[in-house]
Amino acid sequence: MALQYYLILSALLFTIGVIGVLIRRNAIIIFMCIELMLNAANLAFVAIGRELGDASGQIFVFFVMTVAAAEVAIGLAIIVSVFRHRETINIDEINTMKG
Amino acid sequence: MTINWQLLMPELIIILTFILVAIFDLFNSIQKTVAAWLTIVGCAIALYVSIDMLQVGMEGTEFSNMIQVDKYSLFFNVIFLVSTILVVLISMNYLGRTDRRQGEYYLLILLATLGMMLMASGNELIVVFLGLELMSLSLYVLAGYFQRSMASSEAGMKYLLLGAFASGFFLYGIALIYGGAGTTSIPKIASAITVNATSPLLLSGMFLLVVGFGFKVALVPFHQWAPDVYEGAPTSIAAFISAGPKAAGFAAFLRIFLEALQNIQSEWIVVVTILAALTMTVGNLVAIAQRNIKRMLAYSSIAHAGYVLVGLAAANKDGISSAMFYLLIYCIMNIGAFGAVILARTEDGESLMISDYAGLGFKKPLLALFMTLMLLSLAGFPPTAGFVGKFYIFRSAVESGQIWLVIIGAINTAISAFYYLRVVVAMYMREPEEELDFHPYPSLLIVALTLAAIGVVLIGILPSYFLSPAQISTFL
Amino acid sequence: MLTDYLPILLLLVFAIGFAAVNLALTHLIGPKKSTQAKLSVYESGVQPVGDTRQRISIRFGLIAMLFIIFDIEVVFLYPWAIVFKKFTENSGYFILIEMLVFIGILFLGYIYAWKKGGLSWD
Repeated sequence: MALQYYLILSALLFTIGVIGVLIRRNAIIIFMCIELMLNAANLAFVAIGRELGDASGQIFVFFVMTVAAAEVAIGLAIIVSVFRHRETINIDEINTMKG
Repeated sequence: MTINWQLLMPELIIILTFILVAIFDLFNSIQKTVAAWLTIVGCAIALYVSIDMLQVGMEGTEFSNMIQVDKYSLFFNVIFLVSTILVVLISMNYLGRTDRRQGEYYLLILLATLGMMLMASGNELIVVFLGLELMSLSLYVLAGYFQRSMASSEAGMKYLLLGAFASGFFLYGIALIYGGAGTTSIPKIASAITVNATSPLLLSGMFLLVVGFGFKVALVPFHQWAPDVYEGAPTSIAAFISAGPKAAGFAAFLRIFLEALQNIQSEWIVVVTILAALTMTVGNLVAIAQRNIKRMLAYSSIAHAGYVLVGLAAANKDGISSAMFYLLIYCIMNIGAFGAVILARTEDGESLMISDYAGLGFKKPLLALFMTLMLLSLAGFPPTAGFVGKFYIFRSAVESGQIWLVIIGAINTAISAFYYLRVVVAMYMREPEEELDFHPYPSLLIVALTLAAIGVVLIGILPSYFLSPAQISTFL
Repeated sequence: MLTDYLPILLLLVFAIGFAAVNLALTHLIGPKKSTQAKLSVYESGVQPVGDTRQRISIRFGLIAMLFIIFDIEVVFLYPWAIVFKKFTENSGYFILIEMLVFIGILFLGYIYAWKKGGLSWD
């Protein structure tokens, strides 16, 4: 049974994504790490769907891919609009609000 | 293939309104306020249809059991549509007539509302996820709507990064539950898992879902985005984010945890109880330290999420109905409070510091009256709606034996009275430090605030009239 | 067992050796006359224009985003096309209408992006 290997790989990818979001400071790289998290979930969906002999696992991946694409488009647009104000996308320097 | 279109009427009306507004928005010759009025009319029709369906008791599933329309989802439709109508009303004067991009603003609000409705009626985890994303993606753009303002863009980016991070947790949680239960349909998960047959996949998936929902409804310790986003986003959007999306998050939270995962209740109830206690306490304590009224309202809305979570921790029928009832009240009074903040506008923007409100009680009596009513309701003073809401929540928790949680909640209510009343005291008992030149009252904002005030007082005086629909609408 | 791989090793040694010897020989005994034309950047025979490290306009980003949004919708068309025939035999052309609605909404989005100036360069 090969399911566990896929799940371990997807858990590793997910963890790499989470750690990346927490320690990296560049907004674009944080965004890439979030995509890695989504793709880890996709891998788990496909692997589990195949194990169960259930097509819905693969259907979900289609939806998740579409959502991820929409998220990227909106995310890049927002990051560009922040860059126009501050000439930086380092999230440590983008902190006008405190309290 | 036949589809019972009647079941999906509220959603279809919102989609039709969306298409109409999009087409109208393409013509520059048409005034942009038309978009706002169309949005209001569409939402009002959808609201009427939802209430009608709720009274008739129309129920059923559609699209191969993907969508579950029942009284529970219809009751939440009412909450979402009421908050959307109120938000559009407070937005119209706030954006002004000159803003040329207004069409997008209302389109995104409609899309977010549609997403919320899908979340409440999703019978399949993936539909809940799609609804959540439709809502969140629209809200990220709305939070950064004032492109010229640094704070607004920053709010948009913070909301985007943390919201997408939360979506990642949520999705991975769904994937693991799919692995553990072998299905993503909410009723099928419930029958697939029994008390003895818990797999580690299922449990870790469940905790990831808690984290994902925790981010979306801003529970401590996943709340850090909320104050920054509320402060930076346009005030009307802060009102929107604090109301409907939170209710939608709880709609899915309650349905997934009390229907799909009810057989492993013993595993999550401790976590939810601790989160509820933490959220109430931290939200209220940090709110005391705030000088900016939008940040104060942000922390207060975090604390209110804690009160609603008490309903989930109660995990009984009354817990659900009182949480639904509380969310309805919370949406109305919170939008009202943000509306009162918009009302206090000066020539050089908004007056957001609490010190700016000093002496307003006599200079701007109507504004002070609205603000006082909303804050008293948020603090939970009788005879306002906030009091009855808290009362039913705490009663349901007592019934299920969560005495400690109720004691913590009661202490928190006392703490919260301190910072809400501080604003009221400033308005009526303190002299203004500097003369601020306030705008005249915009008419539509007054209409919205009057509606909210009527709602708050009416629910406070006649609670059973609004509570009984919630009581018959639970899914348990 | 390992002896099975000996021919591959030999082939590798021969290939690397042949390339290395040829390169070294031309380097050692070939004449070196560099001219202006020889030192210029090779761009398939066309005269090189400007620097390689040009800054690219952010507007390409906008076009790319629109492309991603419309491109990714094809993932729904593909499974639809596969089940189309089987589905129409049982339940008629409802599935076709569904896809037309889907494409129609996408088309509305396209018109919206176009009219709002998403496709224009300035």
